[in-house]
Amino acid sequence: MLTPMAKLEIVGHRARLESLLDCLHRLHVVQIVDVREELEQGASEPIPAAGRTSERWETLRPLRTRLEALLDADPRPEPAATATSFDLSMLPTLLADLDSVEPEVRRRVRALDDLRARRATLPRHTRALRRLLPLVPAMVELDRYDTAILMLEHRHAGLLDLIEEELTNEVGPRFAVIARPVDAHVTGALLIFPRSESERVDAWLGRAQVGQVRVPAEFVGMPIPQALERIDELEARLDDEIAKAEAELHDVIAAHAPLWRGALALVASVADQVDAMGLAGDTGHAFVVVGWAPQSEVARVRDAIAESVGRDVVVAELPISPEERESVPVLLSNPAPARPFEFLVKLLGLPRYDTTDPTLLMAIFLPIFFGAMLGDMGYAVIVAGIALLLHRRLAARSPVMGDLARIVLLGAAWGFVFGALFGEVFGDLGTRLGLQPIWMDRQKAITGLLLFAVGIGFAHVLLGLGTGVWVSWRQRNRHRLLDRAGMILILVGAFMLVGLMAGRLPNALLTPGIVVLVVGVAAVLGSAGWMGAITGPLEIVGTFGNVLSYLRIAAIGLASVYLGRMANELAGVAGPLWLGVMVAILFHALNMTLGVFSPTIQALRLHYVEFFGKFHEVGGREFTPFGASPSGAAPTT
Amino acid sequence: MTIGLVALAAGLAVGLCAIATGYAQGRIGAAGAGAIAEKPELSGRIILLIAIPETLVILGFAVAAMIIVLLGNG
Repeated sequence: MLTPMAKLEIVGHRARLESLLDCLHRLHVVQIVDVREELEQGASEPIPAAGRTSERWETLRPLRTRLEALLDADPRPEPAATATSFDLSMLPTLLADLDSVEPEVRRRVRALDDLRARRATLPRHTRALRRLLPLVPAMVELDRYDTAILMLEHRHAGLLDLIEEELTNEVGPRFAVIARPVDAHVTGALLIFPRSESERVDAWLGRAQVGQVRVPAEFVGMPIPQALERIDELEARLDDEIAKAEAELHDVIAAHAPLWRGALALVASVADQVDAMGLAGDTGHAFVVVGWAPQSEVARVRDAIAESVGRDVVVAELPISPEERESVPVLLSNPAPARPFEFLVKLLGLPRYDTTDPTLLMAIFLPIFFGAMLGDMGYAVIVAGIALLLHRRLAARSPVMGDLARIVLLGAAWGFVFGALFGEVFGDLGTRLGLQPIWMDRQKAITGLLLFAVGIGFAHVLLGLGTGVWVSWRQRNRHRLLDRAGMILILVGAFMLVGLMAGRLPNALLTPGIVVLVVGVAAVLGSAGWMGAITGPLEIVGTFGNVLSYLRIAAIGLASVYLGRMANELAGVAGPLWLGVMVAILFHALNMTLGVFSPTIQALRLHYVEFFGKFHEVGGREFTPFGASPSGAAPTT
Repeated sequence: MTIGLVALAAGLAVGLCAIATGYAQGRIGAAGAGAIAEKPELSGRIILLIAIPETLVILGFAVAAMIIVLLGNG
């Protein structure tokens, strides 16, 4: 259902605004709206940006960057972070704490960055050296030779010839160039030359602006295989040092983090309040705050304000005009078993405040439709088991998955009930083993199944139209009320005439049936004025189409039962027992997957299109109360 | 012979409607996927739009069922 909301106007002395916002922030039940949109122009002025600061904010603002930087420096942040309750009296302790810890954190962060930077450059050397190593003869291990590594993109590999030519001019033919692709984009080249020519080669490479991969200083002059071995050792050592430095930095931060997080929560809270000041109005001496709160919370808001702000701050409940009802923030409130279905309602869009919340109706009918389509005790037990498992594993991590698992669980329960009514266990396996249906065998009583599906459709569409009548009555929308009521009469009249034709209803109902039908048609045609003559017939045909659309309950169910039967037939002719069992498992698994997916989509569609179309109006604004989430730290001032 | 024709008629009634539904859903689904990529909040409405052509195949199923029930025993 939609939570009844109250519109509050809070007025008090300008000096009390800060403590009022602090109080509302802690309460977390009032959505503050821009006063300029609510009050007559000139009644109050918005508080200018310069007037929105306070001593508290000026004190806390510089802390925000420091605290965020310190907490972000933690290389291993804890997923479930705790926060100490923080108030302004603890500020000196926090400042002393920051002054003592901040330099150490900075020093450790710098050291860690240096280690990481050094570690990051090493693979560049080893990658090139490893690729070039097989091409390098043993001669470079001689102390008389030096090497330079060049890395060029493939498209610039032609430059190597130019480099070779230029170097020949510079130092003569006393060097060798070995080139090989290092990866998909880069060619590595190794220049080998006498150590006596090192200076001239280096100088020329510098002048020609040819970039070299510099081997770390400690490996210069070392034979390549030995250098690689030492680099590997260095990498392993650096990894250990980085892990140790990260652990130490984490320990330092973790020891102080709860206090910092608590302080940061207070800073965020005060920042929220400063922003909220921009929504308040100012008459010079008094402030005006306008907001929405659940009706049930109004007394608590009044008491909290009187207690923590002052009894001279007035909280008045404003009347909600009919025009305003469309834009009232929407808060859904349903019993716990229906709550998972709120997600499905929101998927289409929040209902407007002046309409109704279909969650409860959806929670009743969607699992029934799902169960009527699944209709198999065997599948239902397995689906329920999987849903339970998913709920236990995923509900804590993903509320949406938890909700979906609950919905499927409810559907599976109804699937078991309908399975018993249809006498089905893994398709026709139950019948083969002697199980008798309590109500009907879906495979044989096709006409009965079709009538059952249309009957469900008739009742559900009628309920949707009835809800539409109620919503139209609340909205004082006479045309729509006439349309929905007329459509109900048409359906009832048509039902009576069909019952008469089938010989299931007494002939005495013929005249009343025709009268009801004619009155209904007249109401629908007349509901939209002269346009009703065009749209009315279309709407009537559409509504009958809506009822027939519920035949999908029979269609999906029949498809499922025939697939299950086919699985059992194939298992019977598969030859050896083990093969038959494997075939049966395979086909039943396939059928069960389809048996979960298809009924979910179809039941959802029946609600979204056939049912909601009769009364549901999306476009509601979600209620977003001002303040800290109750799950977060509760800072106090 | 008669039963074969009845089965063929029922198959055509549901099969042709299924092709039409598939075609319509394919077109709507492709456009819907593009819309969701840009505005994920439209997911609910796109599901609704994709679901609308299914009525075609359900009506085809109704016709097929009527053919079988009314003519199948004759």
